[in-house]
Amino acid sequence: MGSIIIFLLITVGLALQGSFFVLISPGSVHPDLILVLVVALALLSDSKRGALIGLAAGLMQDIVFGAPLGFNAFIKVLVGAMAGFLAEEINRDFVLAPMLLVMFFSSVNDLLPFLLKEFADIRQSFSLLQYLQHFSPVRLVMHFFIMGLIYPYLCRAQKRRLLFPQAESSGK
Amino acid sequence: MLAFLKKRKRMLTLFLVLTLLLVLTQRTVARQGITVAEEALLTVVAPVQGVFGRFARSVEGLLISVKGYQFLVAENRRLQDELAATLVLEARLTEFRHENHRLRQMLNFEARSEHQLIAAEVVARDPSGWFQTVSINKGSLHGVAENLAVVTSEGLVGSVLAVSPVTSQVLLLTDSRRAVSAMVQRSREPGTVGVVEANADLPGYLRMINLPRDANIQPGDTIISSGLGGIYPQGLVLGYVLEMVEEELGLLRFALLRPAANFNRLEEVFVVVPGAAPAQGSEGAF
Repeated sequence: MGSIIIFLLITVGLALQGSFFVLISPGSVHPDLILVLVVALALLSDSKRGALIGLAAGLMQDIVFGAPLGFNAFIKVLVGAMAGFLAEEINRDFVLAPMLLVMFFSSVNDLLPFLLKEFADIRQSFSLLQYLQHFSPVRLVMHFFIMGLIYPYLCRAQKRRLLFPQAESSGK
Repeated sequence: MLAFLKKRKRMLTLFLVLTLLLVLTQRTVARQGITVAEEALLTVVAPVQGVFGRFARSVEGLLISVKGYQFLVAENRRLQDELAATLVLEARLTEFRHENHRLRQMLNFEARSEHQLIAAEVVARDPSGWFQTVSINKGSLHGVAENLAVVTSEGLVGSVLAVSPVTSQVLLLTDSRRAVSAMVQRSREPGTVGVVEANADLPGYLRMINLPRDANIQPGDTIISSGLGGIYPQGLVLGYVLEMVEEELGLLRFALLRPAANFNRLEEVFVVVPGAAPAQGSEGAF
């Protein structure tokens, strides 16, 4: 049941991210809803589940948006695992912690693609500085508020054991 | 050793997965086509994207209508005038077409192959900014195939990267993985249109590279596809020359281009099926 809900969440997230948010975003800067979902779900579970969700969501993102296979998966696995490591360190009922953490992971999410493109020898359309200046600040703020909106619902769902039936329902 | 590995099993697994993903990324950069699993996922996601996309567009349309009612009335009047003028022009065009056909027959010319156009709606776009792709709501069931050119009424947009039965992914001209063989419409200078150079002030612009210093090209020139690459038919408008820039060593020059199509507002596009006979319905030919 939990897996189906998570799959549906990611599918709807991908659909919203590629259509609704693209049309209504200011200055061509769009939020990465999948990143917010991966971080939120990882913070509600552990590093193993976080990495697995990151892998699935990242691969789906690669397929749906035509990126080289593994490109977004790499980033989301790393983010999911890192967020999962922090799951035990935060109070899951306190929404500000995930909101601040997603800003950190948002920076990681903006930094890694540049290095990955260099590694895979894909020509860069922007320099890292240009990309960070243009996209990152707005996106950080967007992710902060989106996390604030969706995290309480996910947290409530987890308390009812709808997402991860075998995981602990609350952290510290 | 075994105890050490057992202790760090989770870290090692993560490291292995990340390494595999890195290798996978590198090996799939130039990949064309998709697997059955990818096809299935795209088939599931595309309709959902379509619903959200249409909803967002209607909200956007409603907001624009409310904000610019007066402007819309004036624009409506202007468009009606233009339509009337276009109808006259169309009648003349039909006459010219018939005349052209008649003259070609008289001169025993081979009829130039017409291209079938498949109309499609853009349902999603990669929001990351790192890759320039869009998804359209037409796939192999509608006759779309990989590598077909995609255009708007303004000019060339890109080519089909991957196809599933009901949806396709289009790699835009502004993606760094795409290059088109092109020439200047006025002087017919051959060259290559590459991708946008890193330039935060002019995102989404194209550049035409490998131009000799004495190339007959100037600002305002129209750049069209040369048809040499085999993917894009000849004569599709790519963009307009903004300025000429010297390469670092000064041996060659490149031209900075303003793309003909507006990549920020892609809503409806046409997939070009070369050499196919024009079909009925929403499809047309050029």
